[in-house]
Amino acid sequence: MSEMNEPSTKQHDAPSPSSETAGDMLRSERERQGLSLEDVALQLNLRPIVVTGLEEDRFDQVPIAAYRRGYVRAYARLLGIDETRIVGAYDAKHGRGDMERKLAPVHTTRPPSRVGAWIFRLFTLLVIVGLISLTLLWWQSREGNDIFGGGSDDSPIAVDRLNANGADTSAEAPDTGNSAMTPNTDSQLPPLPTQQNTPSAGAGASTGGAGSMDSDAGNGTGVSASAETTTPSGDEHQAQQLGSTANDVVASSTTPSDDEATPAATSTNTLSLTFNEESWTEIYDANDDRIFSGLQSAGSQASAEGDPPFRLTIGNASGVRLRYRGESVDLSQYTGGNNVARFTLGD
Amino acid sequence: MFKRLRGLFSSDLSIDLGTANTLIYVRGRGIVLDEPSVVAIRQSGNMRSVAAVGLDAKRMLGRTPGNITAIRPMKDGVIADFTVTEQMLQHFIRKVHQSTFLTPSPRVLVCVPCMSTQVERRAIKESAEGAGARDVYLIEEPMAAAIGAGLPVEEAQGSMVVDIGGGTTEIAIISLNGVVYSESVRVGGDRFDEAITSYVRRHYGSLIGEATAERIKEEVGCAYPGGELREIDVRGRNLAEGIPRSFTLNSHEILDALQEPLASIVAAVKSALEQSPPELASDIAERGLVLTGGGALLRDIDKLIAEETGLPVIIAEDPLSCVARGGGKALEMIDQHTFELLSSD
Repeated sequence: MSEMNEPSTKQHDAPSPSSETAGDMLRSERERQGLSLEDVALQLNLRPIVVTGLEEDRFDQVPIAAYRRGYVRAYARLLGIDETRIVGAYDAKHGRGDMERKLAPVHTTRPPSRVGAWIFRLFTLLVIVGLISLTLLWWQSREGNDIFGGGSDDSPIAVDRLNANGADTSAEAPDTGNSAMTPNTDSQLPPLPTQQNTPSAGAGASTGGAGSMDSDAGNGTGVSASAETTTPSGDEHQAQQLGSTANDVVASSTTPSDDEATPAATSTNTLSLTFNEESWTEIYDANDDRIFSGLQSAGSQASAEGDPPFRLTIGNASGVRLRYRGESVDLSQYTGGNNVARFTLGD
Repeated sequence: MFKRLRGLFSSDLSIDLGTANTLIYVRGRGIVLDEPSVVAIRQSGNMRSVAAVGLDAKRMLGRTPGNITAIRPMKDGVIADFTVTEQMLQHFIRKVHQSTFLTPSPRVLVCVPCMSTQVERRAIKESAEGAGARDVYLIEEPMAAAIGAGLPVEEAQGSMVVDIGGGTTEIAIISLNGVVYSESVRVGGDRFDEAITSYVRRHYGSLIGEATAERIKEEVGCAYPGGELREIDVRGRNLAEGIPRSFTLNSHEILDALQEPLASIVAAVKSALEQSPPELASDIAERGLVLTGGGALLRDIDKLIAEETGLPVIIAEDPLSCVARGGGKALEMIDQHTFELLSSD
């Protein structure tokens, strides 16, 4: 116990009402009562080292002020000393400041930078908004095209319409694909033209187109023109025979429902197109009316008519052959890098 | 709107609305009111008016004529008589505001028992609102008691509080500003008094009043044998003879009388320790548990609990005002939105 006196004697200088420290008082009283440190520790349910700490005014074992004061008071009560005196001595040395602990909310971890998170959130939002608006813009521009395209429906029907409105010519007749279908669907049709068409095929069709031009110029009747086109390689007799059913042939070879393909006045400004490959084609005439548009499948043929000059846009130009007024037009000179020909034809 | 204006002239209050005593802590001024929760009601015809509140009313307890009834509006930590509680609170709130110019409209923090039901909490909240409070916040009693005792409630360390109040004993294990486990038994100072009254009736054949029983408890009551033997002279009405008689009680007899309520408190403490998560139990075993509330003033109750649990037991300084002081500290944090101590409804 003598070594314990060392630190406590130093405390005598401390300003305290009863010059003795709390630890000194407790220890002297315990020794007076003849209690051992272990007895006290057992009764207080504290570890002996904590009790030693209390007597030496060392509280490294008890970091929380409320418990320090509590232990000191419990010890004092155990020994039967007036606890206010002990607490007074304790306060004189340690002060009451540690009792006045402020209440604090539980420390919560926050992301390192709130501002950064906000900027990131804002940026992400902007990117998303940008993407959405770009999509919308693209969709709208596509939609704009479709609005026109929607007016003229699908490409094959667009061609039909051309035939129905725009009069005559009949470039459909040599369309081998269509005519090959007709015999199955339309039984009352005379088998002759189809039989003729079938062998004539690609090259025959093109000559048929040329034939139609000639006949248009000569006869001026759509009926005879169509008859002629369907029989470029056949004889006159067959052509006559066909003439009687020419309307039917034209109608059924294009659309079975469209029976009134009225032959109209002829015009020399006819464009005829032969598609060896699939191609998107669009033709505007001088009045800015779209006279032809649509995606054409490989092997099909089409013709369009209107007032020159025509504005043409032909996709996949290398696979398309164009004839204007019976003359073949070289598309390669108009074709751009992406194989799309954009040009104006006619005067 | 007008309430808000009046609020500018009122100070925030923390109220420990206890079964036995009501304490009010005013922000910046400390505890300004400590009075018994007793109201004396005078009945004249159909008119009921408050005759006295607090200390004056407590003196009337058991000594009232026919037209006055002294009521304790709180029972077992919760409101038993709603309107009387409201009137009592109104009286106390006016009393702590010296200015009589405006009716005070303070923000009020009220402590509620942790096991109280939603209905009981709502009743306390509404009675405080009826008494003129602008906003009412509720805090659980053991949490306030732990704050008042200076325990490190916001740290990730277990602290155990045993708050022995007038009506209930609240036991809670607290960590990170939250109650991890809480237990509430409806045993408190009142039950001690009742136990003493029935002991005296059984052993001395005499009837004593509440106030006398309380005086006996305070003067000679003890919870653990082996302490200093004290005696008290008591006068009560002898049941057989019908006349007042005087007799002497000593602390051993009172210890005997208090056995049953003390046993239930000890059982609740043990059960709380059994239920606590092992990490927190180890924290509590290291530092011990803290006793607060008026029951902690019963002589040697710390020895009893230390003996029964084998843990260090500390009695908080000024245990009677711990809850109100803790509420006051919580009050200072009320403006922080992230503050999680306050219980919802």
